Amino acid sequence: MSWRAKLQQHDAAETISILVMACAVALPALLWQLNQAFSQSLEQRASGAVVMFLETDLDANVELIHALGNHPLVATVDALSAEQAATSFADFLGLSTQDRQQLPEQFVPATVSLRLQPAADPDAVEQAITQWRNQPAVASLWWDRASLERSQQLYFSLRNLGRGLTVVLLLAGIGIVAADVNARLARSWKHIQVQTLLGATDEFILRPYLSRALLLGCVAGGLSLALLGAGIAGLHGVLEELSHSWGQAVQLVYPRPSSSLLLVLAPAALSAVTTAGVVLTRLGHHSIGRPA
Amino acid sequence: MPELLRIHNLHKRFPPGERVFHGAQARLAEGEFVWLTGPSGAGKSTLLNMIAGVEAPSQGQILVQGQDITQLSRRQMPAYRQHLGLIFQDPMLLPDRDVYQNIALSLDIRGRMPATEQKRRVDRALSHVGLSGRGRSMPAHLSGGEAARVAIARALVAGPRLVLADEPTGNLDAALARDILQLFVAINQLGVSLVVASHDETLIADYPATRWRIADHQLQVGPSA
Repeated sequence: MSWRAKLQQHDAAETISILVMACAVALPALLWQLNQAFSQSLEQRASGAVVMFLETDLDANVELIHALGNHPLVATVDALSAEQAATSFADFLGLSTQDRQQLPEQFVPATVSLRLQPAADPDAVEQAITQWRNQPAVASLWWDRASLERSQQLYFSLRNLGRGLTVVLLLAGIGIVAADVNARLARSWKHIQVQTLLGATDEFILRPYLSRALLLGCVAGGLSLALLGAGIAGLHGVLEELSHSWGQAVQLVYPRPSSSLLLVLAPAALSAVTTAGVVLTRLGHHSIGRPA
Repeated sequence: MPELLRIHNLHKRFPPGERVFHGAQARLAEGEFVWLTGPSGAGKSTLLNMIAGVEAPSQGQILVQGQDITQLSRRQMPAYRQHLGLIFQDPMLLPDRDVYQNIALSLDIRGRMPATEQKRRVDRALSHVGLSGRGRSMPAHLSGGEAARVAIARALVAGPRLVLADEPTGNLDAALARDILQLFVAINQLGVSLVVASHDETLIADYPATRWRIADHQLQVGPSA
């Protein structure tokens, strides 16, 4: 029987089952994408920052900057000379050109901004801060432990929530596939009994269920890809506004071709594995007698 | 003739202790035809089910070509059943497949076969049961006798050495039943061994064969009538 003929055999209940399966795949995928997008943003926000004001300009502190860049707690180092720091600060204050000319020469010292690694342990950071503060080249140092801890708490909570929801939806998807296969097995039990009495192996009985699972899994995967695309397009405006108000870009990107392929094949594989598990378990646990 | 089937000291009890057989003994030679008779409820179907590996005996052995099939594992059973032809009172045709597909199912189960060879075998089986040209009919459009013939064709198509038939004429009127019994005799003349269960002793009286009669929990083996 051709794939097309197989698809045309579906009744309304099976069509609903495919749609539910597609949603059960698409929602975790969208949630995953959202989680990834927010994670990147939240990760940046939750990574914490340390600002060091130096005694002398950058030229004299190359080794210190290099050492900071290699520190395991530090993700990125952004060094500004005294002049660059003054310009940046004047921009922040919105000073006019005239006002800027009146600023003292050492208005702002050379500054090194450190972005810490995401999920950096605040106690470990505290220890490093103490060491950095004692460096002769460091005039003063600013960091906010409470802010880091709050951001991290928010980041971990949202990340765990996203992962938890993804797992729940995936389990729901597996449950839907298992229920669908169980219902089909119940409807076809007489067929299975006849096949068994004629000498069919478990693998022979499993084959049509498996090919259907792969086919419907691919259909559900394709549908989930379309739903994901629609979801990303629909959320684009909302996220753009959120990015503005947050002051940090939250980027929800369309999946790459390799991810798209995975999104189509993963439900097929999931559906096939679930189907095989359910069918073989049922065949193994129920003795096949003669149909009543 | 070499021995095909031996039933040795077979016991069957159903919980909570209802006894069906007690120490049944019998043997079937290659190419032999056996009528399995006895009143309804005597245990004819149970005996056929045990030979087919559908039910397990409480005790004893069923040796088919020297192999004790009561010791076969669940995974070994399909290979054994593929050497049998099973026919039941209900033809058990798959309603969503036509006659050809129902018969070809027996061949599909036994592995891939060229389409031309499959068609040749199905056509030959249909011809044996007098249904040539009916391959595209759906089971719902068949009479009771035709459905019984399709079930026989399905049992024969893969060339089994032993055919087990459980009340194959139970749903048919006397004339059709005689046609089917005549068909079994013809099949036996092709060299196929048969065990055919029937409670209607007057119907089978005209067809000489070995008798296995179940009565009082005993399997009595009688000479050819």
